Amino acid sequence: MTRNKINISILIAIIFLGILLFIINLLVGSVAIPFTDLFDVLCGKKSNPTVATIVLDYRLPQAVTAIYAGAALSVAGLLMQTLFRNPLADPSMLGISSGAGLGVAIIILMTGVLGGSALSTMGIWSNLGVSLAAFAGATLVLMLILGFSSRVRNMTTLIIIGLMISYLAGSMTDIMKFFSMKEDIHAFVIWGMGSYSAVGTSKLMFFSTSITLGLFASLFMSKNLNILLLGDLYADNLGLNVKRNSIFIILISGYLTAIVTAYCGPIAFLGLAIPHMTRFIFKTSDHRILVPTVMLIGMIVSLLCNIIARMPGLEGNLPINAVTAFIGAPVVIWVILRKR
Amino acid sequence: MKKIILILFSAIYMMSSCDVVSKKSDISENTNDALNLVSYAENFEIYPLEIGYKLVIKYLSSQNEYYLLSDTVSIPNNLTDKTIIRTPVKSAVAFSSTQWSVFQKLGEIDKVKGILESNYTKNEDILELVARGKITDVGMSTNVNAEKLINLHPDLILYTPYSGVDFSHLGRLSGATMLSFPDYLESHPLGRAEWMKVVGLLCGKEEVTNKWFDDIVRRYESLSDKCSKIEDKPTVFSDLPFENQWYVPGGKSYIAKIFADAGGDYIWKDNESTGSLHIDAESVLLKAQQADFWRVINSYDTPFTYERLEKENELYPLFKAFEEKQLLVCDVRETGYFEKSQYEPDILLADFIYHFHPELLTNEWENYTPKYFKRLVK
Repeated sequence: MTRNKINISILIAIIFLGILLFIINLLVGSVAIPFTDLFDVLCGKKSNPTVATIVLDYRLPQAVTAIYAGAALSVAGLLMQTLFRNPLADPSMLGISSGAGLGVAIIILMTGVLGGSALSTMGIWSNLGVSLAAFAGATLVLMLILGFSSRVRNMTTLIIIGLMISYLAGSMTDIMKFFSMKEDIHAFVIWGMGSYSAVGTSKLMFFSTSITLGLFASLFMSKNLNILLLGDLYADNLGLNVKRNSIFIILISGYLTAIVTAYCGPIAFLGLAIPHMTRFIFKTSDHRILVPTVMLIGMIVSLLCNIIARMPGLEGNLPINAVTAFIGAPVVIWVILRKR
Repeated sequence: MKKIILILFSAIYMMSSCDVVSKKSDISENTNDALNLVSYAENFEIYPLEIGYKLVIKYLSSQNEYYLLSDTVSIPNNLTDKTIIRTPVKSAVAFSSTQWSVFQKLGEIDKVKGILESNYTKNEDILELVARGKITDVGMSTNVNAEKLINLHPDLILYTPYSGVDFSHLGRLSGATMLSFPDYLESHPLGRAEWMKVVGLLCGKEEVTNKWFDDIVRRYESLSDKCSKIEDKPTVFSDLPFENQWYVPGGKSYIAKIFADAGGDYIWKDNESTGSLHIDAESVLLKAQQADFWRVINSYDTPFTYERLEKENELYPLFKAFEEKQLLVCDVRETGYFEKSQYEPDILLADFIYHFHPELLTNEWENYTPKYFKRLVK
C-alpha cells in the first residue's frame, strides 16, 4: 500500500474512533444513564426530563466544547512549532496563557480588594467577566509579542521574550494572590483547574464560531507553513513575506489560545503533544495534511481526556488540566523514543 | 369616536383586571428599615408581609430579593415576576456546613438532599446519612458535580457566593432557586449567628430560630457587659502559619470582636480588615512574642502537644504564650467547630472569658467548662 492509502485508512479509522468517543462522552458521567435512555433523548423521543437535561444541557455542550478546544489548542501548537522550528514550542510558551491568568487574577482579586464592586454582581459581566478578563490578558500579551516580533529577526529571541513575559505575568499573578483574601482566590482556583463545562449552551455558539474562524484561517496558512519549513532564506526567495507571515501565524495561534483559555482555563499539553502524535501517525510534515489531521486528533484526544476526567468511579470531575498532561506526557516520550 | 372606544376598552380592561385582583389581591410591600427583623447581620434583611416574608440578601454591591410564601397561599399578582420560595422547602442542597447544621439543629435534615465536601465534616449523623445515600455528596465548592446535582431535583440551592464565581448555571440546569448565603462576610459574631434565621424561615420554623437567637443575644450581651469594665486586658494573638505563611484574623473580623468582648487585647486590633491578614514571620514575632494567649485551631486528626508543635516549627518556643503553656486550642474534629461554633457565639465568648477573666463567669455561667477552646496543658 502506498503511504497515501495507509493514511486514508488511518483517517477513516480515526473518524470512527472520534464518533465513538463522542457517544461515550454523552454516555459516561457521575449519573448512570442507560444506552436506551440516551438513544431516546438523542432521537427526541419523550424521556425522563432529568436524563434529557443531563445529556442535552450538560454533557452535549461539554463534548462540543472539548472538540473545539482540542482542535484549537492543537493547531495553535502546530503553528508555533513550525514557526519557531522548535519541537517544544506550544501556545503557552509565548506567555499567552499566563497573560490570560493575569487578566483573571486582576479582575477577581482587584475587585475583592477594592470591595463593593465585585465582578459577579455586574449583571451581564457575571457571565462574561472571567472569560473577558482572560481574553483581555491574553490579547495584551499577544500584542506585546507581536510588537517584539516586528523588532527582532531571530525567532529564538522571540521565544525567550515570550518566556520572560510568561514569568512576569505569572509572578504578578502570584503577588496579587498573596495580597488577597482567602475567599477571593476561590474563582482563580476554579478557573486554573481548567474545565470544559464552563462554556455551557448559552455561550457555545459564540465559542464555536470564534474558534471555527481561527481554524479556517490556519487551513489557509498550510501552504505558507510548508514554505517556512524550508527556512527563512528559501521562503524569501520563493516570494513569501516572512515577517508578515510570521505575524499572521502568531496572531492565529494566539487568538485560538486566548479564546480557549478564556473559557476553559489554561489547558496544558494538548498544544505540545498533539502535533507530535499526528506527525508520527501520518508520517508527514506536509501542512496541507498536518493542519486538518492535527485538528482531528486534537479533538479526539480532548474527548478522551474529558471521558477520563468524568469517569463514574471518580467522585467529582478531575481538573481537565491534570488529565491532559497525564495522557500527553507519556505519549510524547514514546513518540520521541520511537523516532530514534 | 376613537376616544369613546378607547375609554370603553380601558373600562372593560380595568373591570376585568379588578376581577383578578379580587381573587389574588396585591400585597403591599413595606421595606421600611424599622420593620426589618434582622438586628446584627449586615448582609440580609427580613421584612414581614401579610402572607409571608420578603428576604433580601446582599452580597457586596448586589442585592437579591426572595419572597417566602407558605405553600398554602396563592401568589399575589404583583409578585408573579419575583423569585418565590415556597415554605417549608421540601428539598434543598446546602453548599456550606454552616447551612446544613441549622437544618440539622432544627430537626429538618431530611430536607437536605445534597451537601458539598462531606469528607471534611466529622459530624457522624451527616456521615451516616451520606453513607446510606439519604444525602448525596455533590463535590467540592471549586468543582461542583453538576450531574449529581441535577439528579437530586432540589427546589433550592443554598450557595456561598465568591467574587468571580458564577453558580447560576447550576440553578438553570437543575431548575432550583439559587439562594446566596454570604454568612462568612459578617464581621459581628452575633451577625454570623443571625443567619440561622434564614434557615428558620426556609423550614417554616422562624419562631424557633428567633427564640434561639434572642437567647444567644441575651447571653452574649450579658457576658460582654461584664467584660466591658475590665481594665487589665491580656494580650492575645491567633493562628499557626500554614506552609510558613501566617494568616491572622483582621482587626475588624468577628474573631477580633470576640477577643475584645471577652476582655482581651488582640494585638492586631487596629487593623481595618474584616477578612484575614497575610503577615510575615518577622512581624508576627515582633508583635506577638510577648502576647499572653495564643488561639490555635487544630484541623489535624491527631491532638496537639507542645513537643510536637516545637518539632514542626522552631520559632514557636520563642513565643511567651508557648513557653508559659497558654495555647488555647480548638480541636475541629472533636468539637465540630466549623459547622457549629458560628451559631454559638455566646459559648465562644464564654470560652475566652474562662481563660482571660475566669472570675467574671458567675450566675448561670458558674462551673462553666470551655466547649471549643481549651488550654493545651501538655
